[in-house]
Amino acid sequence: MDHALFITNLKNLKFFDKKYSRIYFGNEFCERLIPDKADLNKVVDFCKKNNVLISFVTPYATDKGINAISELIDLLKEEKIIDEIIFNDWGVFNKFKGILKSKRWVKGRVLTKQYKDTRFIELKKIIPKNILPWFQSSTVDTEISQDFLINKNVFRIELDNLFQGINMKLSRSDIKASLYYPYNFITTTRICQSARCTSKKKKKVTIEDGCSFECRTYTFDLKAKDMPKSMKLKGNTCFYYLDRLPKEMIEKGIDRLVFMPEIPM
Amino acid sequence: MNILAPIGNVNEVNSLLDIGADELYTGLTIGSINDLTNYTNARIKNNHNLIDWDQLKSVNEIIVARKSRLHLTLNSPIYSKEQFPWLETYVKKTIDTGIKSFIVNCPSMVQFLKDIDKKVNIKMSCLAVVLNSESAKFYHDMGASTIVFPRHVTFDEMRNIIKNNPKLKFEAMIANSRCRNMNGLCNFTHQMERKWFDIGSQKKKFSVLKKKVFGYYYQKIMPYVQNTKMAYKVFKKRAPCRDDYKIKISPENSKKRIIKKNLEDFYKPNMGKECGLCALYYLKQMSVSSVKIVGRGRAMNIKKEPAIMLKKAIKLLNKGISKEEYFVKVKKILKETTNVKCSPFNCHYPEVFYNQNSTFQKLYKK
Repeated sequence: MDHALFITNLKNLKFFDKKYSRIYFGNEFCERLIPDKADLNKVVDFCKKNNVLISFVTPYATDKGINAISELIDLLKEEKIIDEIIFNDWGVFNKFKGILKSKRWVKGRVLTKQYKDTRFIELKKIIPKNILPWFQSSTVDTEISQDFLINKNVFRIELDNLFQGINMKLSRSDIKASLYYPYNFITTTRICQSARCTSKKKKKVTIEDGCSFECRTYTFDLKAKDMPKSMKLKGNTCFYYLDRLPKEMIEKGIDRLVFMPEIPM
Repeated sequence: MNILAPIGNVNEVNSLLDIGADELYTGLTIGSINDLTNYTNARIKNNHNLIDWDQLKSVNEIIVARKSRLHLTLNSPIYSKEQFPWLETYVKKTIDTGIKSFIVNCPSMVQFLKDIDKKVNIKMSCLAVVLNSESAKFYHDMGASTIVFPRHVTFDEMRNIIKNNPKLKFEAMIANSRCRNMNGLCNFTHQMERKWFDIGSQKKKFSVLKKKVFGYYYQKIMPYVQNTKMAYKVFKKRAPCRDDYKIKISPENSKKRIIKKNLEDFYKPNMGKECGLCALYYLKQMSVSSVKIVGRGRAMNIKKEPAIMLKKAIKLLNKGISKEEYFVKVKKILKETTNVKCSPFNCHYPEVFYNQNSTFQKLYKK
C-alpha cells in the first residue's frame, strides 16, 4: 500500500515523515486557493530533498480558475517530480491534457460520485440488502465508465471513505484507486458560507462577493438533530470525519491511502 | 427563448403547455422503490416521475400532437454495473416510444447513449457542473447539444462560456432551485424518503401482528419496531440541506455572535417562492436558448406560477421595451401573480437585485 500526504499549505509540510512516498499539493474546492508559483516551488524543493513525488491537485474551476492554473503550466511541465495531476473538473482536463502529456491524470474525488451522508451510520442497518450495494458503489465501477476513462488515458481515481462501506471491485480493471482519510467531503458550493462571515452588513451572500480567506481562520461544526454525527464546514465545503479504514482494500482496487492532517482547505 | 417545465405525471402535460411552457422534462422509473430499476435518475420518488411505459407513451402522444418536445432525465449520480444491461433495454424502448432527447450528467452516460443511437439529443444536466468554456467544449465534442448552466454561475461567466462555444445551446435555471450547495457536486442523498421505507404499511402490519399472539412473533416484530422508529428519526426532516443546524465556531473569538448569526441565516431552510424575471433580460441578451423551471415533484401551482410569469416576461422582452421599463413591469407581474415582494432573499440571481438596487449597492460598498 502506497501512502501519500495531502497538504494545502506549506506549514503542513511538518506532518511529512518517511512513510509517505508522495505529497498531494493544491486545492480541490476553491479556485481562489490555487497555490502560487512561489509556494509550488517550495514544495518542489522540499520533495526533491526528501525524494518523494508530487501530485498537483486542481479544483473545479471557472475560466478564471483555468487561467490561474495556466500560470503554473511552465513549472508543472518542467518539474518531473510533479508526475500526477488530480483534476476535479472536466474543463481543466480538456484544457491541459494535451499540454501536460507526460503527466499521469487522475480523476479527483469531486468528480467520482459517491453517496456521502452521515445518516448512513443508521441507514445501512435498514436499507434492503439488494439496494445497499448501490449506495456503496460508484459509476466508476462499471465497464462503460472504466472504458471511457482508459480511452482518455486516466488510470487512477480518487475515493472518499464511506460510513456505509465501499462496494467496488476495481482490482479486476486497469483502474486503480486512492482512498482519502480522515476528512471526507460531502458537499461544496460557490456561494461560500465562510466568506464574509464576520461581516456586520445584512446581505445575502452571492457568488460575486469576494472574501478575505476566512476559510484559513474559521472552522464550523454543524450539528443537526437528525444527523448522527456532526459535519465540519471549512470554507465552501462540508466534510465528515471518518478514520476507520475499510477492509479488503486491495480487492477493491485501492492501492494508495491519502492522509490529510487537517481539513484540506 | 423557450420555457422548459417539469412534469411529474400525465395530468400536468396539457395544463403546463396551455400556460406557455414550450418544452417539458420528466423521469421514468419502473418498478418498486426497493428495486434497482427504479434508480434511473436523480429523483426516485413516484411524484417526480412517470411510472410506466404507458404513461410515457401517453405523454409523448400529447407532446407530438401539440408540437412540443419531451426530455427524459438519465442523471442519477450513480449507476451500478448491475443496472447497465437493463438500462440499455430501457433506453432503446424509450427511443422506440418516440423520445429522443435525454438529460444526462456524466460523460460516460453520453458515451453510452451515443453508442446506442448516434442521433439522440443530449442535454448536459446542471449536475454535469459546466463552470467553464473548456468543459462545455468537452461535452460538445462528445456529442452534447445543450448545456444546462448550474445554478452557481455568474452572468459574466455565462457570457464567456457562450461566446467561446457558439455551436452549443445553453439553458439557465430560473425558478424553484434555490439550493445553497452545487447539486452536481453534492453527495448528500436525496434518494431516500419516508415512502422508501414504506412506514405506513409497516405500521399497519405491526398493528395487525400485535393483535395476534405476541410472544410467538416477538422476534419477528421487534426488528420492525426498531426499523420504523429509526426511519421516523432519520426522516423527520426532508433533506440534510434543509435541516436546522446548530453551529459551533472554532476558534472562538470576539466576533462570535456576528459569525453565528450570518451562518444561521445561511443555513435557514428557505423554500419560499422564487423569482428570476429581472435576470431574464440579461439571459436573453446572452442568447440563452431556454430557461428551466425546477421541481418535477412540486405542487402544480409552484410549477404554474413561474411558467405564467415567464411567458408574460418573454412577451415583454420580445416587444423590445427598455431595460428600466422591463424591470418595473416584471416586478408588477411578480406581485400580481404570487403576491411576493421583490427582495434579494427570493431572487434567483441576487446579484441582479444588488446591481440594480442602488440603496443596496451603497450599503454594500460602505
